[in-house]
Amino acid sequence: MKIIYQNESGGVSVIHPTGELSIEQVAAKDVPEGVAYEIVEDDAIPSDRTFRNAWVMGDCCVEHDLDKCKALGHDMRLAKRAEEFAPHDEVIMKQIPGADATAAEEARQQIRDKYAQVQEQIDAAATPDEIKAALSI
Amino acid sequence: MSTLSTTNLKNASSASNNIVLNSDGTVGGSALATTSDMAGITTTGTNTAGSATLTVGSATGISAGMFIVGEGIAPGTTVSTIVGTTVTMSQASAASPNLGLSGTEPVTFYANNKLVSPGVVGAMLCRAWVNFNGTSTVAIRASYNVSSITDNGTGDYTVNFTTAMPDANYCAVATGALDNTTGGRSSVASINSYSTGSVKLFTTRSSTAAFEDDLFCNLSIFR
Repeated sequence: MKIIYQNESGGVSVIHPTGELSIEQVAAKDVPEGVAYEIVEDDAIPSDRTFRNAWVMGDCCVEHDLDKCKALGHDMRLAKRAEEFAPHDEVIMKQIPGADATAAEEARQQIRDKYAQVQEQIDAAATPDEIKAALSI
Repeated sequence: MSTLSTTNLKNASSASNNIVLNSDGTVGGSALATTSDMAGITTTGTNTAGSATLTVGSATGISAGMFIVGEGIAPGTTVSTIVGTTVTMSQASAASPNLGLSGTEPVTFYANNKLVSPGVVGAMLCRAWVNFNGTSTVAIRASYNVSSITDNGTGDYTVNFTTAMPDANYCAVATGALDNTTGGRSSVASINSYSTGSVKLFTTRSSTAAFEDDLFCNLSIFR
């Protein structure tokens, strides 16, 4: 059993009891004062934490806010793109002798184009899984 | 079986009561360890690796039977005899690795004949600890004096104590590991929001400072 409640940022906090106290005692002690909470079965909590910060309170269980998932997906896309940009940025910024800056810029453009398509797929996604598929994660 | 009904137990040659039997079921007397006993007697020592002879800087308070703690000295080693500043240990120190005391390192002697009560031990122990998996389905592997973990978001947790700390001036020590591989991605665990009932634990990837869930999240509380 878990305890869930809406936290200050609008997301969901999930309390995992250790078993030292009963779930009711934990709820009384560890849920912030005055905050409404629910005691739910373990399977009401998603096991996939890819979009953990997009979790919101649903009617029966924890659900994903798709707009928040897309915002997180956008950040993940930028991070992945930056990783692929890095070796080419090195060539261009440092003007390394013998390195082909033009080729590096072309490679960067290809990466830009690829991730522009990824962003389009994220924008069009209807589920968190489709966002994951667009990001290939 | 008969019951001994008395209030004090005392060795015939002892000046004071060794054990006092209080009416509320507790005990007192000189047989109980004090905080000073718990701290032990620390001096410096000289010992050649592999030898059972230890020369101490000061022999004050050291007596046969005491436990010895120092570099290269195996746990459980006791004082067999002491003559002047020369202590003969119950077993030789480690021959390898070469961990002989050079005369400047500390060596501590602890009483082996005292009763220990919670009152003198409590402040020396870890008051709460937890080891949990912050990835996938958050799972607590083991804990002590922790009622629950609150998962607030990626790499953002609150550790709630079963019995509250006496104040918020405790020492909280946290570590995190993103995976279980040698040379794996490193993580930084940080702490804030110290309160008597809980403390917040954050885990971030060291290379990007971005919040990230760790496979191993550990927290220990001392006060």
